[in-house]
Amino acid sequence: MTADVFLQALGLVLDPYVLVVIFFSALFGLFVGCIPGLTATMATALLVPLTFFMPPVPAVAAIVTATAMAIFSGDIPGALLRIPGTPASAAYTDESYRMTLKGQAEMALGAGLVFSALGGLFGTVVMILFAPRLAEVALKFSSFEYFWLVVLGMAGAVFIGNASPLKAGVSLLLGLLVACIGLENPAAQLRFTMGLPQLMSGVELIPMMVGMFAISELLRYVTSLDPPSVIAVDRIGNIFKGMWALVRKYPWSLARGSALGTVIGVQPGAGADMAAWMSYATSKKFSRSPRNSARAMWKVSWSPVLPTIPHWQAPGSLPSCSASQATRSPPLPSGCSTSRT
Amino acid sequence: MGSLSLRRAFMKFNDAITGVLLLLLALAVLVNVSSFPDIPGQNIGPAAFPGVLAVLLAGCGLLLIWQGLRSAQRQSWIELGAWTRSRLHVRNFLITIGCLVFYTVASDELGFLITGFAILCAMFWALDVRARLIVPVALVVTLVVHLVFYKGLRVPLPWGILLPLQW
Repeated sequence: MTADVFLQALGLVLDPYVLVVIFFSALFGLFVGCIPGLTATMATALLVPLTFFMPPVPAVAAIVTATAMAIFSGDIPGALLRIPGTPASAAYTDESYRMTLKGQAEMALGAGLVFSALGGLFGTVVMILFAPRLAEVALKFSSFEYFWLVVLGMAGAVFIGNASPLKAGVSLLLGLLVACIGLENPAAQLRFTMGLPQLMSGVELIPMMVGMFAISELLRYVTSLDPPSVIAVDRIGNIFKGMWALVRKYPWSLARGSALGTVIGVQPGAGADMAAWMSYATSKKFSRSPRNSARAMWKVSWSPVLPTIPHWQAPGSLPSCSASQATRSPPLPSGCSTSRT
Repeated sequence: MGSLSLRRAFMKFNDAITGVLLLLLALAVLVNVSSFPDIPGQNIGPAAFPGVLAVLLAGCGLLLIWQGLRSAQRQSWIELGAWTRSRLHVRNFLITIGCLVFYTVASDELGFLITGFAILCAMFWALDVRARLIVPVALVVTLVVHLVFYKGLRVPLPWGILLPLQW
């Protein structure tokens, strides 16, 4: 039965119109993901007005392609400029940038691309095989499960290879405190707005990211005593070079990242960001060569493909699917990204 | 971060100072939170979550003070990064902060195009871009950024005094 459905789906996807849509949404996702501060969620939100005018299959294809592409291309400024393009890339920005400084930009980008594609394929296979059953589990998630999931993610953020868990904890608490600002609490009580109407809706993810990553990088650059040539990168050659060797060298990291990404990504609310951090944590823990470990964890970046499952419960309700995607910018990642800087 | 951050250290405070600041912040939050109203019939009000965070933060602050005092013999209270001894870098640091403040204060009045252009010129000048290139590059970059974000991505960038030119 699965094979039948698969062939039927293949027929739908290989339609020229759908392929053109996929091509252009990939370009669009690449562009949005590259720009620090514009996230994959943003890419989805910007696509919604266009997908309204499309039939369901190309519309879903457009959103999934753009999201997956944006998540990957967030690695590009992360690797080259040390500014993660999307929150999901923030977990390994330091490592990929350090590789670039060593002249390994090709490998950093190639690993990001190849392993996120591999992880994406793995996730797709899992989805084809288990989607209906996974959706049943995901729909049973209630506030309690969300709460513990978030606690798990944040505990991971604090204890991942930080030199000082105490200071990481402080940053986490400060991030959560920043998330308290505004009206958004059950009583709609104004908290910590200091009379500024701009703060009533809270501190949003994008200003947060720009402040935490872009401006800090700017100040670091301006006050850097290094000769400026450090950042100069050679022409980027073939980024696929040496990828097969990397796959053979780190099969377990690949499997672990893929499995973890699937488990985390399938849950609504926990997107690629949390999956990336947790996979980063486990890979760092299990790696025998801690310096190299970072490299092995790019692969998780793909998991946003999966969180869309729960919304597929109502076929044909694409607008609601897109809308819930767009509004699903959880407060957690801001806490997480704060806690790392 | 390792050697990378040590070499590029920005400024370093003794943990005790950080701890005291955190403690003060936590107290300020607790005082502020105590005036929040309860929700009738509910145990958890708007004060609960920030209150818990503030208590935890105060605990972290105390731990940091303890750590800082233990290591106080070995290190000074405030260590400035090497860049603070270079006038050029201090100037550039101040210019950068100044540009951010300038945008925050003036962008609504003057509009994105003028403030963006002025900031880029200032930053290019501070970072030793060739004098001939400063104005044309700043102009083109401002226009391209405006085009991409205002037209392409529909970010409502302010027009300010250029409102008559809106397109």
